[in-house]
Amino acid sequence: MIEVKNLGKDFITPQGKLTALRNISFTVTKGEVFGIMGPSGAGKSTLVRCLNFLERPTSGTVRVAGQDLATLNPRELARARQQIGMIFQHFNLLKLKTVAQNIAFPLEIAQWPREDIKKRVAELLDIVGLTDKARAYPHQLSGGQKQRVGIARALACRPRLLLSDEATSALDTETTQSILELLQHINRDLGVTIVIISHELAVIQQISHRVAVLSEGKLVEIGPAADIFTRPHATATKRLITMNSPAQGTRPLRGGAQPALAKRGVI
Amino acid sequence: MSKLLADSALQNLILTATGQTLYMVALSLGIAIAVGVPTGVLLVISTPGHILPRPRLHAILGSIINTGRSIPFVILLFLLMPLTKVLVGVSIGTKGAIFPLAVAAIPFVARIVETSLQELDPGVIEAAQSMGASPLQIITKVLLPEAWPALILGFTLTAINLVGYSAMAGAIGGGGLGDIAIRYGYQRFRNDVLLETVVILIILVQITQSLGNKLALRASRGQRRIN
Ligand SMILES: Nc1ncnc2c1ncn2[C@@H]1O[C@H](COP(=O)(O)OP(=O)(O)O)[C@@H](O)[C@H]1O
Ligand SMILES: [Mg+2]
Repeated sequence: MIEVKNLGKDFITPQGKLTALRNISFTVTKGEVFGIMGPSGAGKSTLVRCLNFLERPTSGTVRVAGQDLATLNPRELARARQQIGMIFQHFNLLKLKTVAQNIAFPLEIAQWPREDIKKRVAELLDIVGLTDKARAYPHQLSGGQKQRVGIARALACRPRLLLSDEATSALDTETTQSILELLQHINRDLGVTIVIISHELAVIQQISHRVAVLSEGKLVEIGPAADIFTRPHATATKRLITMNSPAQGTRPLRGGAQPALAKRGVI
Repeated sequence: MSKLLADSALQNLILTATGQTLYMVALSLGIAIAVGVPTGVLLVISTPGHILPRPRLHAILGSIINTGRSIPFVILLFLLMPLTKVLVGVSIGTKGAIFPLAVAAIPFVARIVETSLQELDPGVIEAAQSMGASPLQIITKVLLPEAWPALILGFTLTAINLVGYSAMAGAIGGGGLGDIAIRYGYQRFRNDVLLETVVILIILVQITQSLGNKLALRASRGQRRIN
């Protein structure tokens, strides 16, 4: 699905050159949930933004669904982006548009016929469980509901790949849980490949099949989630895991929230 | 009897002048919006880091706008007279006043568009980019619609400034309420006329402002913060 080779990204800042990513290579297979974790400032956002060329890499190649993104002209890149959904920490919804209009937005961008848009929006509202909020405005929604709109919007054009940049980091534990369940459903039942980045290890641990660890712009470790969390090799990974261990006071994700979720019909 | 007649003739003049003021303001506002909005949008999107970064163009536009805004309106009126004559056929009167009024308001509108668009959350623009939106789609489907309430308030402010400027244009024969206030109120010592024109101007400004507020509130879809 994704093939990243020798990816590097420098930012030119008033203070000089800042290397955010150096020599990163990995692949993401079709149908998997690929987690990227690392401390704040490690370069996670920059990396995920390189996967749809919101950020242009300084060096290296990014192939998505077989296409080298660097070779695409603006129109082709736009078409490629329609096949890559993205969700964000702060949801980034249009404030003056209703839930339904927000979800319809990418379909309008892709110039779908009006009738098809209407049908697709109804389907998406159903997938994320917000049919009764179709005419609400974002400011009338809770954080979790806003992220559901974000997810519906990202899925609108039926992408095969979903990028998630700290999508649960602004949400409380219980809501995080329900959003993760939704992402799992999207991955399992709709077959969408997911790249999820988070500084919250519990999130990555719960949902990822494979995990990559970023530290200071470098990919220090990559492997199946079970291995990374039980037998970390890189010092950076070990440090990350000890710093985030429950003894140090991070929030537990499993348990606790389950009954409430069941009550709301999420699981 | 004759005094009453004179007064009713004056009332007619004031009525006509009010119409002229509205005409000058509406037309020059229309032109200023038609030119100022694209200019302001171009100013914003050409900013480094925005959707169509063009640093040189951005700098040039910025200094043109600043120059326009730093020329006092009375001076602009005289400076533009020859050009007005060429463009409109006359350099004075109500028709002659519209061109300089519009020219004065264009940079103002452009800056208002700039501040309104800058207030938008960059994340929303990024989301649109991630969906494959073109710069034109981002302008027409994200930037302008999302900034609409702020833009309405900005246009209201421009309209109110134009009411004041149009009164100044009246001083050089532009017609309208300013003209009446000076010729009858000031030069012929008719304090009642002076007062009446001022009251009408106040009412015009009040109506414009509350209409603008109402439209902006409606456009903001019940959000508490308008931006
Ligand atoms: N547009 C940018 N311009 C300059 N520096 C940037 C930019 N975006 C990110 N950076 C820098 O790159 C590094 C990695 O940032 P980021 O990818 O946001 O990290 P993370 O998402 O892991 O917290 C940081 O040092 C950050 O300051
Ligand atoms: Mg980040």
